[in-house]
Amino acid sequence: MRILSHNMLMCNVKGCGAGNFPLRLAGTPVQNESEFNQEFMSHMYSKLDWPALKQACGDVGITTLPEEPPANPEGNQEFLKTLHDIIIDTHIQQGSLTCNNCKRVYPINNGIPNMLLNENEV
Amino acid sequence: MKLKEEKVQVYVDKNELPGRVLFSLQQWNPSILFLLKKLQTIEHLFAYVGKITLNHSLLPSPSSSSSSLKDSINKNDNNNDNNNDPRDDSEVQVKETEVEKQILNEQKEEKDQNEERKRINSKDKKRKRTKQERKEHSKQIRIEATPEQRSLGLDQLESAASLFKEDDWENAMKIWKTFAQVTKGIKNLELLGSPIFRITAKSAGNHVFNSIELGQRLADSVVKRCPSWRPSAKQFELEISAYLRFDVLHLGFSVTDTSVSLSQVDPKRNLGVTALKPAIAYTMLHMAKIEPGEIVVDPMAGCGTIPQLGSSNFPLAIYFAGDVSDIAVEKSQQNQMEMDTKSAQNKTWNAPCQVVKWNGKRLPFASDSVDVIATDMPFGKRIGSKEGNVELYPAILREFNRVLKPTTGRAVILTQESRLIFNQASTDSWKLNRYFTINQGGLDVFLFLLFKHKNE
Repeated sequence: MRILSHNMLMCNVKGCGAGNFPLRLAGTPVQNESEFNQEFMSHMYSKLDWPALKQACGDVGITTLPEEPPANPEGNQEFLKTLHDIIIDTHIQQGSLTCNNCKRVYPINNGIPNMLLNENEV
Repeated sequence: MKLKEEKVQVYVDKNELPGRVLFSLQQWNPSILFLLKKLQTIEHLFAYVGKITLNHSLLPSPSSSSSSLKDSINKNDNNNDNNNDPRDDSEVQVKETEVEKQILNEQKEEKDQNEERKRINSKDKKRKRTKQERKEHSKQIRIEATPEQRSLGLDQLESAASLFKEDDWENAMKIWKTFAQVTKGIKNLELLGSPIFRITAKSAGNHVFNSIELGQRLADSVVKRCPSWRPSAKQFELEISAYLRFDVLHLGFSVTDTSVSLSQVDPKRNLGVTALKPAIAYTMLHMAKIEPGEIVVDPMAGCGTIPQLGSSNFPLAIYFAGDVSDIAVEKSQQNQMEMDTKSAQNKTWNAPCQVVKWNGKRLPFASDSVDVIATDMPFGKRIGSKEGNVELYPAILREFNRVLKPTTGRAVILTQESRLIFNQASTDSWKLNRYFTINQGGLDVFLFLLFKHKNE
């Protein structure tokens, strides 16, 4: 599971309200190199939740994320490349996502997060 | 090499040429063939020679003038006409009008029967024909042809190829020659001028011959037109496609060896139970008009065909491929990893696609956060059940509505359960933008584009 995906997932257990995003991430980050696409990164930047991204990086020990995005982030190739390395190339193969609110744990196996809920959670 | 813009005229007629599109270019040059091979929504390409109308002796009928009303013809009348002396025109004329009157009456009866049937069906009582009933029904509308009619029809085919215009034939050959030289590597000019060919014949309509006979006679007619050409079923260079639709014969020279749309995807994909044809998946994504930076979700992805096609063809968005089944999720992941590995090796980009295990009725996305949902919903035949769908569809669509952004959020849905979608689309929360039917494996399947109007 990419760090990018973590930025969009939340806990949807019945009754779990405020605090269900972002989820806490656990696992060992693995790098899978891929081609850098500036156009994609500049469009994706505005969709990112920066605090959630910072938290995810903190949770799994990624230190390359800058504290604050630079001025004109969409045009800054250096910054976008660093961002690419983190959100596109960094994967969690084995680990988990945990809800801060209801403490529900969603396991990640073989890079696939299991967000399937039980009968009593819907 | 950058090509300048060319105007292409496209001609579509579902009645004349179903499942086919004709297009003409201002001028032909070999690089156009490369471009055409990149089209994602077509299976095969042909250089269209043209069409000719053969006369009615191809189709069995009691008299030559009523071939279009053949479906409701009473068998008794057919026998009577055959016994008539053809020299006695006046009697035949009278018989014709009588037959026509009877046909019109029977048509009216059929119409009334159809209305009745519609009323019964609307009460959800699906009247399914038993196999026996179906056989008898098809026997009724199939009229037996006389030997004279058969030989007349077959004779017509013998000279069919010669009826095509010289210019049309030559133009199509020119296009085929490019394909033969460039793609098949045939350099021998003699071979190009007199290729070994095979005819693939398809027919629609009730003819006095079957499609094998059709193919054989047409092959004969091609040799008649081009004596230096030789037909061969196995070792052939030129494949001629013949499509006889009632009394119109269309001819084309094949310029593709394999399915074009299938050649754009990895042949080693791990397919699921109801894997979608890539051409249809591509069309769905095209309908959604995906913008850069958008979030595209397939909540019932199966083996992931739709998000994967998105990942490679609309690569500036991000994709999620989810399914409730373990096997489906595993296949999706395998396919996605293959694609990502290939891209890394070839130094190309494809959009990130995340495979997730979830239930479509309960998605792990925030409300009003997703831009596009594109999915092939269970028809209730191979996956799920018709009864189950009655409960499933409203629940799924409610969840779609929750996660989609208001106004710009849209869902592209492929399903056979049109009524269940129309039910939801008619509520205030959705705006039905457009829909149309496609023929998928013989089934009438619907494609819907719905916009989220507002939250439920």
